[in-house]
Amino acid sequence: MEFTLYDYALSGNCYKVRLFASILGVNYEKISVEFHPAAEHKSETMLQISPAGTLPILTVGEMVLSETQAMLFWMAKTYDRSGAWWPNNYDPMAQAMVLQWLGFSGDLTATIGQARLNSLFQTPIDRAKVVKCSVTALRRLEAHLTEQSFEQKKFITGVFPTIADLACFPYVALSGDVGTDPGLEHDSYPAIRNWIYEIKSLPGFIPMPGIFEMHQLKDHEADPTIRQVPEG
Amino acid sequence: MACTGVGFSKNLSNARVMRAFVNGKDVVIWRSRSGKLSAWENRCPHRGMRLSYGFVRGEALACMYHGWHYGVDGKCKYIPAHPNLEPPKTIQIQRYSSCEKDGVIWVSEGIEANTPEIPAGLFPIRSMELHCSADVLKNTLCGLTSASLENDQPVFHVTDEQEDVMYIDIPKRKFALCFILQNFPHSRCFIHVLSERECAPRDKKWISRVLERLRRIAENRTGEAT
Amino acid sequence: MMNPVERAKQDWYPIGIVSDPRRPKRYATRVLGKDIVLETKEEGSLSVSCGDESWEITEAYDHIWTSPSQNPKPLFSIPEENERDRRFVPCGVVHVRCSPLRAVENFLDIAHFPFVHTDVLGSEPHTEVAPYKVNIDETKDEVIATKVKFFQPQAAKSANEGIVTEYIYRVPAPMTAILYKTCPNRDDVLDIISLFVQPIDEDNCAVWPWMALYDDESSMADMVEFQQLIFLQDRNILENQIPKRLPIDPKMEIPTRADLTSVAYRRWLKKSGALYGALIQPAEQSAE
Repeated sequence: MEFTLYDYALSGNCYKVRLFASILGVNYEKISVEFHPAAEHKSETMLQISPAGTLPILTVGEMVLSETQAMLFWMAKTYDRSGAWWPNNYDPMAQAMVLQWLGFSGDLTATIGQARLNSLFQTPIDRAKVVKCSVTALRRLEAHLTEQSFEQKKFITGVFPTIADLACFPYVALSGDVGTDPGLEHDSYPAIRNWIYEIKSLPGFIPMPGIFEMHQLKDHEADPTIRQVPEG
Repeated sequence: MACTGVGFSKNLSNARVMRAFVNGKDVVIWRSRSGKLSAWENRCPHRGMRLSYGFVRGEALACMYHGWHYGVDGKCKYIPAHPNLEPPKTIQIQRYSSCEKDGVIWVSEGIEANTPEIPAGLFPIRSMELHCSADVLKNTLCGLTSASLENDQPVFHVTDEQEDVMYIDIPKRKFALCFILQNFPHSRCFIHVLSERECAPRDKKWISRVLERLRRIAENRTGEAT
Repeated sequence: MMNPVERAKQDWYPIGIVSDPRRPKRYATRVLGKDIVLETKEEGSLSVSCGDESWEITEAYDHIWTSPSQNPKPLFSIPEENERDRRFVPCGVVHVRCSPLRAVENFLDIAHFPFVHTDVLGSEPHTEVAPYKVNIDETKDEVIATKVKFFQPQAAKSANEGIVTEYIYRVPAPMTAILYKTCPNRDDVLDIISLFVQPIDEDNCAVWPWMALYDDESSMADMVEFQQLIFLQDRNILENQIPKRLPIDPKMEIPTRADLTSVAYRRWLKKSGALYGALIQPAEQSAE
């Protein structure tokens, strides 16, 4: 086991770490923390491990990380042999772009993430305001991905995905969980829709509740429609 | 029955699914693995699940709920819960007609529908959703030509206006654009914007940002009106 | 036939977990379209009020139940609650924008497991639903489905490998479903998973899953998480079914043999007039 993840299955931020670990093929120990209804992440036991009182928590030996972006960075530097998920040191501009969109992923958590918690568990928020800010964030990403597509770039910072894509993906893909308010569903955003398909097609992709997989047939599986209903 | 432009061909790759509204009706549009385009009522007749959540298997669209497979003829081909059953021919989804012309996907309820006459050989730039009706957008564009000036030149200049298509010049950069309008429920609309000439990526980016500026103006107008 | 709202008022609905230290002293929620307040007094006693009215209240299966009726039907029974070596697990509450009846019907359905709960409760190519038995127990006034069998890759938190799981379903009240399933650890007992549904109104509900399991190994967090994970996968389906209300007219949705439980459930609802959250045809409404 490479590290320990304190995890909650329904959390989009925890999913970022699970997804990246699956893509990188890293084994880790997963400890479930009952976010709802027990609010176990705020318990004394958990606060002793991470005073931030948030999930996920990633620990290796003495190192304790409580910010998801930092976890993705550490995982990329530690386990990514391809070097594609975090740009190399000779390209500060590319690194800056990844950092910029990692920062933006925090906006997604603060908007769509909060609105979703309200939708699932009725956590108190100013819903109208948070939904409006969620739409603003989605529009910003849609505009950016559209501009990327003009240069045949399918991902947030280029032709290959980086940790910025993984950091932004969960709450964008989960926006439908919030509700049917105009501008929350993916039908409003053609570039985001295409990008979600690209992420779901990555080798090692895993789903989470609220994000369906594409149910691609594995190579050895026959197409059941052809097996069952002979053509002609 | 009029055709509705629902998006660009390039934005719907093979084996992918999208959802759109045509005359206020919820429609699923999908492309089979070999590239065949279909547009259907967005509802699985089994348990009412939206098919736009579904997934493509070869030449069939499968519902996400129970995996019922529907062929491009709209007929149910396979029910996973009963693998050896040949599904009754009566299980069929209502189909819309769909076609592609010059990079635009058109959908209509009737079988015989003509796509609007737009010039051949336009270049798709961007599909964008606005939270205002197509009428508000039209009025905004028409009202703006003299009102909104930049360096003494109008930003947008409407050169022709049809029911669902508008032609707009942006004099500053000498772009001639075609706007295809699509109404969405809840006072929303989509515009599908094409250019008369091929543009470099930086020109497309500039147009894309001008469109967002237009959206801000049109949506503010909606806000004032209500 | 009794009007659906009057019929719905005769039943009990879950509005909280008994031992929930995080519930505010005055907890506001909605039942059958009415705003109600669950008040926890200093000494721990509970009361429910709806404006000037006071509603009936009871505690059962780790949950707090309320009913607007002065003389509600008796709360259904789960005799296994007396088996003290079971672990009783309330799993919290999740809000869903769908009819309460749609939420129950989905819980009675197994054919969706390979596609919605992929690699957990089902997986391709094990999609076939074998014939099973459904009947309506007239004395208990319950829908019962038995001998429901399905191949499951990970039937419970404690399961390590795929097994053919056997299910029994009970629907003892219109908005309650209970399933008994093969326990991965023991041959002689059945695990229990229930879905208690709070009708916010006809198009919205809050779902309180509750489990009574023979599982000494899994942590509480693991067991709660497993059930929440399953239900959140369902939530996406439930919020995208059209119409939102459960159609009672058999012509509106096409069932197959795998849907016998749902067919019986809809028929039972119609027969007993429990149509709060159902889509009633205009012709049927006028025939009242």
